[in-house]
Amino acid sequence: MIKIRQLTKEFGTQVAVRKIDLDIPAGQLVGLLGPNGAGKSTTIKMLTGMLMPTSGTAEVGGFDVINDPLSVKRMTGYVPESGAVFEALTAWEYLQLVAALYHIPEAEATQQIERFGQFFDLTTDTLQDKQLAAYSKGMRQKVVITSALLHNPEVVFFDEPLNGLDANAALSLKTLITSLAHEGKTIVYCSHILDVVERICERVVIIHEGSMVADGTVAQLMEQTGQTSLEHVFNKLTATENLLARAEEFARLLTR
Amino acid sequence: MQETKSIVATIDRQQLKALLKCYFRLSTRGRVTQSMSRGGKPRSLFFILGMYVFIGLMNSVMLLTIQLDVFTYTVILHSMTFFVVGMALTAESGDILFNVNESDVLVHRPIHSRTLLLAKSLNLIAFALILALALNLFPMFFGLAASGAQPWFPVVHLISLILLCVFCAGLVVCTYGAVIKFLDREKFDNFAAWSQVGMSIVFIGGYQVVPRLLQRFEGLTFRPYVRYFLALPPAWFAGIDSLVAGNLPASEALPLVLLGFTATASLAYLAISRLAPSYGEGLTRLSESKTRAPKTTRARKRATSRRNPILRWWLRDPIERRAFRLAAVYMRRDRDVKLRLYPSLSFYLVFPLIGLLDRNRSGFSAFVPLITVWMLGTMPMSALETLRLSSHFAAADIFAIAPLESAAPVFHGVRKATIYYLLVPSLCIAGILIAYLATGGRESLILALPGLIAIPTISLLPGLLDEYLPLSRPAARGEQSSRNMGLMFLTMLLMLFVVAVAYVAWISGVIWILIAIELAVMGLLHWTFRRVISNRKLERGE
Repeated sequence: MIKIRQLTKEFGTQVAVRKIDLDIPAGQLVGLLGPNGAGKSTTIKMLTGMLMPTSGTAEVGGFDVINDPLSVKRMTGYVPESGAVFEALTAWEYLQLVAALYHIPEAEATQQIERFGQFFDLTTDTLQDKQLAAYSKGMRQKVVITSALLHNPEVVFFDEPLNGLDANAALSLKTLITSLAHEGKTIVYCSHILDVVERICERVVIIHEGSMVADGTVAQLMEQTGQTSLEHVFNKLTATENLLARAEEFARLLTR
Repeated sequence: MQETKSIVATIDRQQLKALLKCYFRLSTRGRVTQSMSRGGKPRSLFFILGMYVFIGLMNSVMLLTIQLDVFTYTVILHSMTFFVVGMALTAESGDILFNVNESDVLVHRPIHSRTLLLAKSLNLIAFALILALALNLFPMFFGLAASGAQPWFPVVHLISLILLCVFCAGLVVCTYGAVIKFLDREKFDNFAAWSQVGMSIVFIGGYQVVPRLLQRFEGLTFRPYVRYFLALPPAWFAGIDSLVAGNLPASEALPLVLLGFTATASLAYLAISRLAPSYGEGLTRLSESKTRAPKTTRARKRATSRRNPILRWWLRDPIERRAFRLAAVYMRRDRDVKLRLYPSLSFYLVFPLIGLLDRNRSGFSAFVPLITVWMLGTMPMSALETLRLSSHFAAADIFAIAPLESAAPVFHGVRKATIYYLLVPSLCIAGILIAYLATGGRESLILALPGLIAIPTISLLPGLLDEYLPLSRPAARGEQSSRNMGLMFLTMLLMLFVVAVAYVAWISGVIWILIAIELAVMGLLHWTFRRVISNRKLERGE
């Protein structure tokens, strides 16, 4: 479903993504991990047609992201880390706009929005009466997730989807994501919450300084690195020094 | 034909309709936020519309008392509209066309760049049309009294107004489109701001041509000189009024009309067919973060040298110093701020230059320093207002989180940055120009003193009238242009008052007494204003 070859993105002198090769079959739930600035979001933005790669190729569902970005966009859903929405609209208006952009008939869109509203505990009154600027971060995130899934995409990219969600909503979303994967959707899940990734993702890809440094199931990665958890695997592959010792030393400096 | 069909095919009507509906809502609602910024109804837009209706009424009454023919009447009307609409579009277009925050909302959706650009262009046209209609509401009907006007003049004028708005919007969109097509992202940031300055100068210059032509032709009609107007865009649209609802012969009006239609159609075609694809690419490029090359030793040295003793003393308060730095960085680096700030400043550049150019013909020399300094004196006020707005407005919550009792040190830091980086260089340039170019320059520099003395006090007004926090408000539709126009009219009123007082004092030989009195009054006002600003407690959000 997703095929990436030598994908590279440069911003001026900085190489954000360096010659990544990756194949993700349909129905797979892949965790994309990496430290801050590793190139995860840049990779996702290239796969959603938001950024042009500097070199290399990428296909989503057989469509080239460079030559046919509109077809790629039609079949993908994207939950951005920023949680950006048009704040002066109500959630209802915003979701109707998104539905129109994907050519979903109004009656069907209304039904879908109500369905998502029920799932996320957002009443129709809340959806219709309040502007998104007045929403809490968690409520807004629910709308952003709804807007990414409204058109029933084949491929969904989640970039830190649990941002701001309360424990119940987070649990519901995690279950929804695994269920969607079981239904055949391809899901790329980008997060810093490693235990969630460990629990829900069948495959984990780790990017460090723009390059892919690990790819496999959690068990395979633990075996390859000789570690006992994904957190330790991540630490071993991406940290340059002993983090625990550094944190203790820093705390001592702060309280001195 | 085939090409036109393929262009039309890439425009998705359903998406276009949805986007237009969305932009209309965004434009009319303003913004309610949880941050420290204010929001709500677009009051500023209503204010400016009211102001334009009033100006239109005054103009039409004034113009009709001198019994103009349709061509002259509509050239003047279209020139004013061209100026007002052009300036407003220049101020607002950056936010509409290149809203970086919008990229996470729309860029990953399956929207063809032509559909998106068309939606935004129509949004710009609608905004322009609202302003144009407000300005022309009364003149449209009063035009029936112009000599040679036909009963259908209002309808024809409405159509020519729509075309003028399409032309202005097309000009703005094409300028940006060309900039984004031919420049890479790094250069775009700087060039976009300067292209806006250029557009502002074109719009102001275009407006200034008309009164000068009236002077030159020494009459109340342009009709005998129609051929000279071929180079003036507002006259093209006046040609439509005069041909269909006036009494200009077809042989004279048709070239103007053809030019108007051809230029408007060409701009629309160019924007949607040729520039739309690069606009889409440009939008994706804008969301890229830029990596700056490491500072050279020379640049580091320059940064260090900024810490000169005078500046260090002036910015001895650490909060003021950091706010000064914040404003300086945003004025230099942030595209949004640059797109708003520098075009609004072009107003200050053009009028003094026109004053200087007019010096010999109109015997205007004594007023040149006065006008220049007074106009430049309001520059910090204009820049401060512009620096209130930012797409990063949520980050201004830092001022509420920090243990600040008042916004005063933050305000003073930003104010000093506008004085240091914008006003002082402008005053130096103006001083040199006045001293060496204006007739009787050096003697008349004394006339600039009352203005200079008032500048520090005037620069306190934004903090006095309202709590001032930089970059703390989201831009709302019409806010920037209404602020610019509001300040422009305020400037003119202030200018009128001081020109009168200082000039009378000068010819009466009491200029130094006036300056002494002004020093005392301004000193007292300055002290009072600072106390009021310092004593105002910082509001901690909603």
